[in-house]
Amino acid sequence: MLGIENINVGYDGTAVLHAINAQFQPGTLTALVGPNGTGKSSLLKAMAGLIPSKGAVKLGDTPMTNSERLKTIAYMPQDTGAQSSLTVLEVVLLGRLRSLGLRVGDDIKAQAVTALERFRLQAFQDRAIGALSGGQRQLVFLAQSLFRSPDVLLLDEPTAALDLRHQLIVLERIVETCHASGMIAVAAMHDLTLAARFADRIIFLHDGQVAADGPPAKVLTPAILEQVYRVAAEVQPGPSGALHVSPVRALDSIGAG
Amino acid sequence: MTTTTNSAPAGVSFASRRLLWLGAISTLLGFAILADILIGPAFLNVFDVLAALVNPSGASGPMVVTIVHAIRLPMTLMALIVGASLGIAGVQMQTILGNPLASPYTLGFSAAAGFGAAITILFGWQLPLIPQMTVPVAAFAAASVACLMVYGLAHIRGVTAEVMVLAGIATLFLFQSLQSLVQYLAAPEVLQEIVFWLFGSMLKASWFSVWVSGSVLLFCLALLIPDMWKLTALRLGDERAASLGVHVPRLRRRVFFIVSLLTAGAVAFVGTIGFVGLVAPHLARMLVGEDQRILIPASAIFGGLLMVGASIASKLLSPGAVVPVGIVTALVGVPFLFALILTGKRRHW
Repeated sequence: MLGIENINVGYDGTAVLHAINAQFQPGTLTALVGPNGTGKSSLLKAMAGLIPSKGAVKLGDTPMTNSERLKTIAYMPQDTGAQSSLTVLEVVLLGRLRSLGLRVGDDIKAQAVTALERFRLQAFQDRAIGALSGGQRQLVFLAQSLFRSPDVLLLDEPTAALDLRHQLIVLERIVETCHASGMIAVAAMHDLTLAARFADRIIFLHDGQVAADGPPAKVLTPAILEQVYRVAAEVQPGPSGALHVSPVRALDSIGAG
Repeated sequence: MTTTTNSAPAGVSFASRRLLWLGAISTLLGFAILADILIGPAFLNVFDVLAALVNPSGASGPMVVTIVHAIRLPMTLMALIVGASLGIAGVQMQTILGNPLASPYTLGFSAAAGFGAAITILFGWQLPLIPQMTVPVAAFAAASVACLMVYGLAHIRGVTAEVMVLAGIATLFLFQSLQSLVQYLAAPEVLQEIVFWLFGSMLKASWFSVWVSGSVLLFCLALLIPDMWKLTALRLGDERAASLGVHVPRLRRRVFFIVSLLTAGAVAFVGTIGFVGLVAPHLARMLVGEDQRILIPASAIFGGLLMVGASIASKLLSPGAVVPVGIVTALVGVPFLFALILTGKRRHW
């Protein structure tokens, strides 16, 4: 189990996150949602040990140091690499950067190709990452993250800028891996309907604090959406049985508070 | 999305292709080295030169042996070492700064080395015991000062690519101005000596400079080898590299000092050499990609090839004389760069 205790983050003296506490169970996907600028990315980076923060990140009962977090927790930022001519295979291999030497063995290469096969990307292994579409790039980076076999995977808007098909593929693979290996996944997301369908639990962040935390059926309510997003929204079961969120109107004009 | 399968073993075709390229440019470099040794203003017989190379105690005559072993070999080897050093320095500068226009010139190290040499020549300073080493030591020291200036600013404001580029450009302009001031103050005969140093010439090469610059190159290469995969990861951006476990500021700082050492070691003996550090990495990247395990040797080979090629051209441009190689590198490098801009894929630069 992964636990975060009293996580506080600030930039240039301004507090962004205030005393965030949460527990994450093995084999689950948690969606981190909330308005822009509410601290979702900062929380993920703080958990991964990539930015300074106060508080503790624990695996079990043991607080983890920054270097332990970098080994155990994989963090997948938003899409990058569009300008790189690194090959897809090289990008996936970088997932196990710490174990790569001057000569890369055939076994580790075969494992990297297997990671690509999960996303049917093996035919692209010699293609430059920058030559792929945004959706394909995102799948390659997900393959890279899973190639690390992390205990914890943190994803910053993994479906942003993806078409519908790629959104489903990305989230299905994450959930599959959670169920198969017991990996803990936490994803910052904007699409509440996708979050309701794939996440076991949703954490609403608002003004750097947890506004609601629980299973989608419990926390995805018009009242919470109004409180967090200042919108009137309808929440109804969709065709798949998962909740479907339809925003109706914004309650305040932008900048009106 | 295309979902065709590929049953070929992992990375065979691309890996083989880039090894073939590495072999091809190494062979080309071998021929260039031989040509550079064979060509010279003394118009020696080719077979006599070959005989002097293979069997110095043979029948080529003492003059041929002396010219080949005391002049041509050190010049060629120095061109190779300087080119390789600048090629590696260039590719690392472009990697840590994430900037395709970066080169050892960018952060002002070469300009500082030039200033160090110029001011030493202006005032006629000489080191006790090793007076012949005064100019190289001054050039090396000035390049180190430039390195510390850039690092100092970056240390205060954060070791990011943007801060380092800005600090480097400021340092470059500072030392270029100081160089100009020294030249303005110098008497005509001293000015001629300063300008000759600033042009960059292999005529200053000796077995001692080969030994020192070669040692610096090997030392820096040994320092870079453990970081090759981290440097490869940096090409995906700071945040993604950090997420893979790379301590980006520490890596940038470490490689920055290695680049400073490589550049200072290369230019201290032979003077300012431009263009090689900018063009060689681009050529290498186009052929072998961005895996630093291959990119570093390929950049070194291309750097060596450009420098040795420039050395050959410097002897052929004016028969009976050797034009300073620093003038020729741009003449050799510019067509390469134009070809790169016109034919290269945007992704590579």
